[in-house]
Amino acid sequence: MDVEAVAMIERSPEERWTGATAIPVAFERLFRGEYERVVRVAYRVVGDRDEAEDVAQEVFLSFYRAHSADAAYASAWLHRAAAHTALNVIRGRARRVARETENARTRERSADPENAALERERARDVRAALARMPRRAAQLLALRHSGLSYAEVAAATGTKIDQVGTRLRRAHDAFRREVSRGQQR
Amino acid sequence: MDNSDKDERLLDMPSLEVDTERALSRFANAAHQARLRPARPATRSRIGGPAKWLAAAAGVAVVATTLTMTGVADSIFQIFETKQFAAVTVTPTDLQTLGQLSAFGTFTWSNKPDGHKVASAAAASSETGLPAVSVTVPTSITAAAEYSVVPRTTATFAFDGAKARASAAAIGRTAPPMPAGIDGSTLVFAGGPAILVTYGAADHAAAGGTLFVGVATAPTASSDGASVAEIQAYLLSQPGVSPALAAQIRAIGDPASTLPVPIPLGAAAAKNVSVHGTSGLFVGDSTGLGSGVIWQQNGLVYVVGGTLSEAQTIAVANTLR
Repeated sequence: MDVEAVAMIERSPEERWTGATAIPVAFERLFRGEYERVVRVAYRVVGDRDEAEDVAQEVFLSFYRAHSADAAYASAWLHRAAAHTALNVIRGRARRVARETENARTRERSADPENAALERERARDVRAALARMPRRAAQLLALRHSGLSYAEVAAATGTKIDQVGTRLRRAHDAFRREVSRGQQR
Repeated sequence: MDNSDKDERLLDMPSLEVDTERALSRFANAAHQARLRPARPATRSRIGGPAKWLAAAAGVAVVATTLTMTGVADSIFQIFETKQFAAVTVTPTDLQTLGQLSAFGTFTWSNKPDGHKVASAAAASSETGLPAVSVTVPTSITAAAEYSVVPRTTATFAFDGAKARASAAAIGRTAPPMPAGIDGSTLVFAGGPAILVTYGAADHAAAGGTLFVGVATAPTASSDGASVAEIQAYLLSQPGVSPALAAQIRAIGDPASTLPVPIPLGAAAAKNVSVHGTSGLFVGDSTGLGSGVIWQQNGLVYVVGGTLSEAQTIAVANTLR
């Protein structure tokens, strides 16, 4: 008897695999229900579709390794992990961007239409502000602005629901400060 | 336009079409290529999530203790006592190989870690003889405290060469031969009693946060005469154990008193921290969703963790009295 066969016998029907590269039914259901929202949270932070999908893939792989698909906290975990992992991506990227920004600005001034250049600069400023501001505040903004309800934001961040509004206001203040700081540089 | 509208505009992104089916197929391929196995579904027990976590940790600690008894010496009844902790990174394959103690012999609970709830901190202390523990609870944690106790637990493990051969044969493999000095020898493990204080069950982590605080008599291990150096060499030579894990275990400086804490690769990270003026091990979930710290002081092992940031966890741990 091979290892796969032993695994099939030990697992409940909900967990059965359906083929060589298949995954358990319960996980598939979770993936279908949450993937789009996880991508949207990551997209709000990293600002790039492919990168957001890479973040989502990493988040689901982490969850798959360590957590059961039927865990009550699954959605909250995935939302928070999406924001956290995406912030890690832009924080790592921030160092590289800082080196490249001046060169890019010079190139854009001379070669690109003004609006496109301003748009790119704005997007970069927003990512840089998210990367610099306190992580919890950045997470709140990413979660809320990707369409999660107050209840979902509260669940994902371990915050009481009646504190979400206040914390969001503070996060907005921090965000504006960081955007201004970036523009003054 | 108010400020949050302006922020909304700044944070606005072009609309996004997501192809979930394509992503699911990509995910399944990645999981298959990395030979990932899904985590097992949650099971119900009488004393909830953190206690289950402790029970699982105890199971792994049994293996870990076995692996680190080198230096305990080759004579009868040398004792391992947990005095400090070291993080060792483990892969899913390592866990699968070492988590199946039953493949190497027979594990017998002399008395199982059969935890149960009690009414108060005083009742927990009275039943276990341990000091009642309390911490300053962060305002983000809204649930009330629940108290559980786990009585002192002992277990034996008898190595069995024939069983190891049969287990390997059942999955089409050939096991490394079990040395004669190990075959038939017995290890005795003891742990607890323990008190566990929980705020919010792990199953309800999404609704207001979870905090758990535990205290236990430090686990010990004894050997009835097998060469423990041989045991370590034998277990680390199993085909599923990565050279990286074997190197980490061998590198532990004081194996007679250092309990390795397995850290799943990619799912968590660990580091040494100072807590209550002593050295502790901090473990953080890779998402930042949960974390915990474990340390030993005066023969007792303490653990504090929950849906908290690193700073919060250490701050809460330092309020333990």
